[in-house]
Amino acid sequence: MGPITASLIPLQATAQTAALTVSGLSLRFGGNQVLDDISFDVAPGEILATIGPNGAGKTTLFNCISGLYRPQRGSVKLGETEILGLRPSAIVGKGIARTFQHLALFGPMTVEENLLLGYHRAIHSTLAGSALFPRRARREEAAYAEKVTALMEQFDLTDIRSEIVSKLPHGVGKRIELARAVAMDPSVLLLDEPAAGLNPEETETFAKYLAGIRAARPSLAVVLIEHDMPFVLSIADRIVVLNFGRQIVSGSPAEIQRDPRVIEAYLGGQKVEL
Amino acid sequence: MTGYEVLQTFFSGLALGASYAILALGFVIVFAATKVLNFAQGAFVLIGAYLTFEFESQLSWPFPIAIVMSMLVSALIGILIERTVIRRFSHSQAFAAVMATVGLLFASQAVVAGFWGDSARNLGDPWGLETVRIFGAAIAVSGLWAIGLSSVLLGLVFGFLRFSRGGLSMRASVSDQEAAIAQGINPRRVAAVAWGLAGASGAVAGVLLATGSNGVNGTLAVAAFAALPAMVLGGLDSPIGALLGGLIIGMVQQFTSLLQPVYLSGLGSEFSSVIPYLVLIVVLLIRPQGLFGTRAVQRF
Amino acid sequence: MTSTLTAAPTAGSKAASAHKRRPWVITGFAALAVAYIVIPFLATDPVLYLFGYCAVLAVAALGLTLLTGYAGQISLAQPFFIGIGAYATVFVTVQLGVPFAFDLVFAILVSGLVGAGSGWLAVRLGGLELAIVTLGILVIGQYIFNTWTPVTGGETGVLSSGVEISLGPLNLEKLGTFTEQQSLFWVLWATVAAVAFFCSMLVRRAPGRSWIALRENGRAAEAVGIHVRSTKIAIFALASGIGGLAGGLYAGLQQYLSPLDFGFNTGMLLFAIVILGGINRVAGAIIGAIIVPGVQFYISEQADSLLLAPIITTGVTDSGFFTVGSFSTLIFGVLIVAVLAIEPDGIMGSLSRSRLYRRLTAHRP
Repeated sequence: MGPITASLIPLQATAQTAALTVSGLSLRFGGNQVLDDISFDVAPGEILATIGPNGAGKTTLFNCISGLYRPQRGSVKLGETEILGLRPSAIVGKGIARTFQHLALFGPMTVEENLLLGYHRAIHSTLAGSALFPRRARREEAAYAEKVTALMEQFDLTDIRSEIVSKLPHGVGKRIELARAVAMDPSVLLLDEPAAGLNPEETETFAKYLAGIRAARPSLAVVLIEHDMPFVLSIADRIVVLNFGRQIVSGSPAEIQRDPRVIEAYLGGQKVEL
Repeated sequence: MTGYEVLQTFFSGLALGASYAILALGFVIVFAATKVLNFAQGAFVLIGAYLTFEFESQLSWPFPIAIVMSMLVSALIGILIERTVIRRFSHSQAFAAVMATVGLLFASQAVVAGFWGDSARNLGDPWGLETVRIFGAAIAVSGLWAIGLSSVLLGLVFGFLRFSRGGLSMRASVSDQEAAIAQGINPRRVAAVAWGLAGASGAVAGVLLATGSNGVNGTLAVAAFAALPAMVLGGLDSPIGALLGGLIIGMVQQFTSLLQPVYLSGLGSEFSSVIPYLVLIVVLLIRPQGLFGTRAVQRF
Repeated sequence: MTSTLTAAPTAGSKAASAHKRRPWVITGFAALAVAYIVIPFLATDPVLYLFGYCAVLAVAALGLTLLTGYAGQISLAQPFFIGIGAYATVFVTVQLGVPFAFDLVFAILVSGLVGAGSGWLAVRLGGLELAIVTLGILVIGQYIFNTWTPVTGGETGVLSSGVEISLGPLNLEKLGTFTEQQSLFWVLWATVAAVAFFCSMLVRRAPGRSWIALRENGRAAEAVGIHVRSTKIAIFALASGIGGLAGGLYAGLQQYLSPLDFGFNTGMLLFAIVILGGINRVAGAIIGAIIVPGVQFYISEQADSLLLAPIITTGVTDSGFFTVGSFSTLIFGVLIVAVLAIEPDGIMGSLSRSRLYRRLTAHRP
């Protein structure tokens, strides 16, 4: 599996065109400096990978971007809009969708219902509207049910549309979460360890779905956290390396592979097989 | 308001707070060990009070023996409930277990009413309505006993948790159940011990609540709920928090009873009964994590 | 809250294809319609009154089903909102002389507003703390109902016989030549049907999905764009408003309101209803609201019968161990524990998983 459409994408994002700009982000929990002055940007269409040892602050960084944590300093801009300080649901509304390291699906609901929830912000019928204008609400539900059907086609979920998601294997759950994130119509997609717990075959399938998403929406920016190095190197346009909450280096996969600081931080100076 | 009244109220607040602390401790121990909010704690209160009455007044046992025996029987009932019912809910959602304890409360209220009827009984405590003078203030002997008994029981429970092997397993199990199991601690035994302790502390609380002019009656089961705010204030699973929460609420409630009829008589004679919950709501509005809890504050 | 519950059907496709269901479903609804029409001609007045009481409980329980069953917010305060609705109705009808239809709207609005306030507390609290705080709201409600005598009559209560369920000039408590209990049956159960339809519309669409999401995982709900705070406040307001409606109907049904009608025991009765019926099914609230008071009624009717006389003490035979009241308390205590242990989804949950039910209601290909 080779790098996907790498040649079409600018290697370095510029400030004007960035889909997502993180600058000077710092977060403390009590006395712990969990994130310290993190800055990077992602261009539309680009895949940026965030790597680093466990506890480096990668998921924390995602939680700051998606609004679960409130950093003490810094800024997160989606396009030109500052989103730091907004509620997670509002940030979804602005166009950032994410998946979780540990699945955040709704266990007792079906695959179809989980995907319908991805369209939650798009569905206009309110509490009163759903009950008082049943015809209009039914039409709207039907329209989104159709969109979900298309989405299930795209992610090969049609056969299991009525299954309860808590009974499905982990790998399928990852795929449902990805599909649900796509339903949110994002301009930036955050993927937290999409390949964790997947076997090589499943990882390859996952990459295929991701490629499909990007083909359908060329301006989608993707930020992902991943430990599976071959996967990261094959897919990422740029890589940001975090260690102990600090951004120690960023650059193209080739640069990262050569950087002694990365080898030192990431693998504690041991023999590397990047 | 005189200095005597303040002193008197201080003591009655301490006594009431001590009863709340004992009750809250029962809730907290069960919650810490099994993550169940145990509404059946009210049943232990009811059973403990009626058994003490039965042993003392009907069988003419000495009062201390009557209390100890009713503690033992309540503890056994607690263990039995854990073994037969609660254990089945260890893997279901919290809501199911909580509602199951409500079902248990119903059933035991009915059984108690079957045995002893609906009318209030005199507990038969030796101190009754007597008072003593301390620095000139009239202090109810029952209050002093409440403080004394609670101190002994709290001392025993904290001693158990702190120094005994069983207590160590309980604390270990509460802080990290998986690690505790890995250390060979049996979570089921921990749960059973917790329910036993809850039964015993409920019985003592029942005696304290039924003492003096209150009498033993069916409303004791619901009276136990007044200790729930103390539990939340203390952070749900902290025994020390339960103690402090209970004392705070007892004090506020008794001082309200002293001051409100004078200054805010329009609020009526029932006002002090809602004090525990008002204190709780006000505190939660200011500090959502409780007074002593360390619960991470969620942003939404 | 991880859960063993299965989600109730919510998918839009199901609603869209409802008209394609097998005739069994239509037959079922037709049977219900026939029962609705004929029961008032067959049953005696006390039984009809009981059915009226069931209807009021069914409405209140529907609110609880949405709030606790779907949205996972454990609230013990539902009787408080019934009380607000009932007293508000009495106040504006008897003291201000406003027509009943407006009173009901007023009752719903007042309960809903106070409910939104509770929802605001729920935003800051987790599940069990919320249960305790709502218990506190219930206790505070008891205090208010006992103390605010100009409106509630205090402990002695207030006459509500002046409240006539009516629509403009049409008094629905005296339809044509029918008796009051017959008329009330039709009116109250029509209301239950309307509220149940309203609720089932909500639970199978976007609002219902967002409630289940809230119940399962608040953090994940935010991550799919559900505004958790406003959703919580809205569901509390809605459930409380439905409780207020039940209260308004209760004021119309009863001659007299006492604070005890809106206390802890009513709360537990409602929980017994939704748990037995199935807490995450709209129909469960209705089934439970018929069964629970029905069994209570049966026990009191049959207390002197051969079967129950040895167990129950009454004026006639005092050989038994329990009074009527404590025996039904015992039955419900044991039933709640048994249902939760054996079938946490209640009667409707168990029914909807049975093979027969599935075959009868299956969609046509």
